[in-house]
Amino acid sequence: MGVRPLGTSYDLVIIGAGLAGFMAAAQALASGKKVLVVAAGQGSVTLQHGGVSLPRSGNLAAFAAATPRHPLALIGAEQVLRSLEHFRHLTQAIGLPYALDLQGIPTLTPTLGQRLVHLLPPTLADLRQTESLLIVGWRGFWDFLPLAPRLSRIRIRSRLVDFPHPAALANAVALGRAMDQPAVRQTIAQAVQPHLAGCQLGLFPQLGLEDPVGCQHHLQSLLGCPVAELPALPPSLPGTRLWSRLREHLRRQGARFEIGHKVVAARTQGGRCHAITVHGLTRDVTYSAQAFVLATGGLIGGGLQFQKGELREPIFNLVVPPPKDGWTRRGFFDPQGHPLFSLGLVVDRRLRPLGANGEPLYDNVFACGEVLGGGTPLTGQSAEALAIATGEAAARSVHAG
Amino acid sequence: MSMLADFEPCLKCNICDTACPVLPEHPEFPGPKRLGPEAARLKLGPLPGIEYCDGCGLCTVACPSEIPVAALIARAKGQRGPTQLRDRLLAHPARLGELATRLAPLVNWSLRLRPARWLMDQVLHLDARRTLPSYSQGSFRMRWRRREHPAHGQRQVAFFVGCFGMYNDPALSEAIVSVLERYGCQVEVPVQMCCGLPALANGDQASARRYAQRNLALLLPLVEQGYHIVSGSPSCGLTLKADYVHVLDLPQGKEFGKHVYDLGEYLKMLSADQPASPVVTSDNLRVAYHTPCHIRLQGIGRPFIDLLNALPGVEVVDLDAGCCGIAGTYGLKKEKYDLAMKMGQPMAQAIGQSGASVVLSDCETCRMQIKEATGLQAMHPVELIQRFAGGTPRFQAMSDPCVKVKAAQRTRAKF
Repeated sequence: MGVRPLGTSYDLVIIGAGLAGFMAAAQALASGKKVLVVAAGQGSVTLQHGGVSLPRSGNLAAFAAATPRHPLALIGAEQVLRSLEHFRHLTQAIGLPYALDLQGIPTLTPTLGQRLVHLLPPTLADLRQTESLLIVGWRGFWDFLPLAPRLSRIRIRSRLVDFPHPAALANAVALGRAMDQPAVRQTIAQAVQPHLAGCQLGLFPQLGLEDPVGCQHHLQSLLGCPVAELPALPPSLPGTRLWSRLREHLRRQGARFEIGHKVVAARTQGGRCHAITVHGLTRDVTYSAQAFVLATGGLIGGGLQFQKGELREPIFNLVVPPPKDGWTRRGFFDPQGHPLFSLGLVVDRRLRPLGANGEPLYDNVFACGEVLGGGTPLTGQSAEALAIATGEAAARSVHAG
Repeated sequence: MSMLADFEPCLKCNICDTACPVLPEHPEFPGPKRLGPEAARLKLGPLPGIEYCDGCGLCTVACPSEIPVAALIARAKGQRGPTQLRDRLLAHPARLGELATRLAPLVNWSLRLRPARWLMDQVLHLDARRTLPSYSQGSFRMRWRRREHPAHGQRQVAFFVGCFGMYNDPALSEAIVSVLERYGCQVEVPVQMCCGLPALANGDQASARRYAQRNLALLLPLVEQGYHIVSGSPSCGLTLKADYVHVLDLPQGKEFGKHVYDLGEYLKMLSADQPASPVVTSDNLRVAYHTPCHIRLQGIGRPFIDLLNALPGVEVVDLDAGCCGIAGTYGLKKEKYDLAMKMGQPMAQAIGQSGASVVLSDCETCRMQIKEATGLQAMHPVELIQRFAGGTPRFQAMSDPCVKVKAAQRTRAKF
């Protein structure tokens, strides 16, 4: 009787477990591919508050005209919108149904700034219909302070309220776990009710960990008004839930995950990549595949590194062309952002990294997410949209070829 | 990187806290970020609550900045020293094993005797509800001495047996040896000490260092002769590979660690060179595999999933349900028993939903926890591999694993 080969060859190996890598995995699984996701650690989705916004307030045509080399312009508005729609379907499948509105939905950030998003998690506040709201903070929960931001049109009050289980205020994870318990929610509702005084919306720092939508509905029925959550400082529960549920969903669809150790090198020959090498604790492990998706993040995520005056992608050892007018601008919070952070790999329409001659370096390597640049992490808002749209596009490119 | 301390890249992103299995169940726990990189940076030493770290290392696995969070916590924990008699005892499983294997019938009888367990619960704070592993009559070493060894092999393997394999389940150790020999290895069982992890986990860094130094003195000469050190227990293997250098700061540990292999890692490497043809087959045997956290920490993938998938007729369900909660001696302790069982719930649910007839895990305490949480007797995956490799163990006493395999046979499996 024959021996089955050891299962270490895949149709597609995705490097990176962020939103871009997950979207690539979802797309590849939908077309029946055998997928492995390899990542140094848990993706930064855990830190994000869950909303997704498009650049230029969603006017993709104007955006593409202004920045034709931007990855979102390269793949085209049609692909961007299609991937957002697919992301919305995915969130339905994992029980966190996002709202999609290309006009934009105003919501609040963890620091109580206002932000326009185009995909809104079910638990975050939709401020369009709101005239008055109450922001609740838990006394002793240092990761969130309920200041009342000034928003035109909306009447806002904020209150510090005693949390019935002070031990759970140690951090967001423990708080989320406490909020999962119906009994805790009942005592919370009693404590908050007197402060509500006719407000249309109650905003709480971080809802439940396991069943946030159930937690939200329960609080709404107890208080008799809409309830939404505010993500606090990292870890953000909306981001944590999205990451863990997406991962579990993809795993059930057949994806394999090997998380915890960095991919350090690629084995390439004749314009193709054959395998990648993971740096284990004491020795390296290789994984081979037909194609590879590079979704390792930007400078902050470690997908790009600044070494000896050059910006490099360390796995395939690709050099990012330097900016014309310096790596940084003068002010830290310069409204245009620093070129260093918005630079990334130069790719073709199929998202294959290009060499100095303008030709794709490898036939079967596709890049997506912040490794492509085009984001402005300190000032920009479209990193998630970039990840969703290019992640899916990268996986599409794999079987387009 | 070498210029920076290993906690420096910490951005305080809190991803480790979201990955920690203890934190959601025990809000008083300060969490890995505070106990590891933060305490190291601020030189805070072991903070109150550090004893609730279960040492699973999922924080290290989750960290995108490659900070050895769990090793930082282990270092701090070691400074604390054991705080009670129980921890002093649990720190030395080999001492307990040497004694208990000589008095096995008496010890095993009293481990199941209610008044004895009540006394252990009251005096030692070892939870009376926990089923403790029984000891074998005579250690694996005694059986090894009676055994005939093949004169030579293609590879020289020094088998690191581990205390569980030595004193509690010698039959498993025999199965490991016979599989290694089937792959053409010449297996030695050198004189060895406990790896030192139980001492580290129970706050006794001084003892852990003594064990480590002794093991290095005993095993490094073999490494120099070209032996590969192979461990069938993921936790012993991890300790030999990494903790000697990262936690105990023993410089020789670095070179030593490069010659240590996890059993699955080693078998996968061997089978890539020379696939072993199974002599038995099965018809749709579905097995559930629980990945020990200390396998994830090694960065070797999950080799047993690949090895099991290569067995004819076997379908592997990757449970992928995080930490089982027992974490070595952690889940035996009275104040942590309930916590450990809560932490193991996702795994128990995943086993229930898997539809598998056999549950496998390469970690001995994970297998104990599987039994505790589901009532199912889990096997080491190598036991299944051995059955497929011919099923006639070279050793006589394959008592326990045979019982386990019979459970598999009931489900249409043709062995």
